[in-house]
Amino acid sequence: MCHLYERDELLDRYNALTGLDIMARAVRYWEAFGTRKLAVMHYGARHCFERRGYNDMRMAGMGAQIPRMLLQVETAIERAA
Amino acid sequence: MSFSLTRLFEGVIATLRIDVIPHIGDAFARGQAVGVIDLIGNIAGRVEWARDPLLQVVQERRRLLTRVAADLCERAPEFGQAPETLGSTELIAERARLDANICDAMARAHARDDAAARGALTLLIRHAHDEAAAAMKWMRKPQFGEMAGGKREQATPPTR
Repeated sequence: MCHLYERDELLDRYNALTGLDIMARAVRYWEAFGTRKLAVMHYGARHCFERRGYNDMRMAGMGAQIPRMLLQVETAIERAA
Repeated sequence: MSFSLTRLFEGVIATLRIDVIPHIGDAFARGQAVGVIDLIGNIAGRVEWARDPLLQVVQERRRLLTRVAADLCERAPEFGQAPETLGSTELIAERARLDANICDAMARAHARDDAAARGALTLLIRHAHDEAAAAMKWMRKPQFGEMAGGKREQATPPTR
């Protein structure tokens, strides 16, 4: 997490401090789900720039990063499977 | 995963004209921005996406669809004109057409539950991975932080 903690270390610490029992498997699911949603936003941004006439370069920039996003989705889904 | 170059240039020029130049206080900097618009306007009609990577993508997609059809025991797809004879614009159109065919093949494979369909799906997924991984070779690290906040992320050399 932001180079501060390893994944397991963060989860252990979170569980210890909150008293909750967050399952690593559940975190991986939400991570995959969130990454997928982010990929959809990238496609939406690209569509807005290319087809709907929005000239915001951030949207074009998101569209250009779609292959990177797809690989991240793949990794997140494999981790969650 | 490439934009229409016409639309890309149009968007860049509009952004410079509407959102950038009116806010530049320095005359030299404003002139440089107008220079970028001028330059883009002069080259826009003469540039197109590199043909070789497009050709490679189209060839790979056709091979993939042929193999998937064989795995699914379907009739071999007919593709029409040989991709080697096509220019960049036609290859982009063909790539989009094959994209739709790949989605259809994926839907057909998903609708079945047998070993051949699972094998075909594995091929389709591996292809998507390979294509995205290949595109990464051309891609730079995103600068979303700087784009969103407008602040420079790292020192860049002076331009004048």
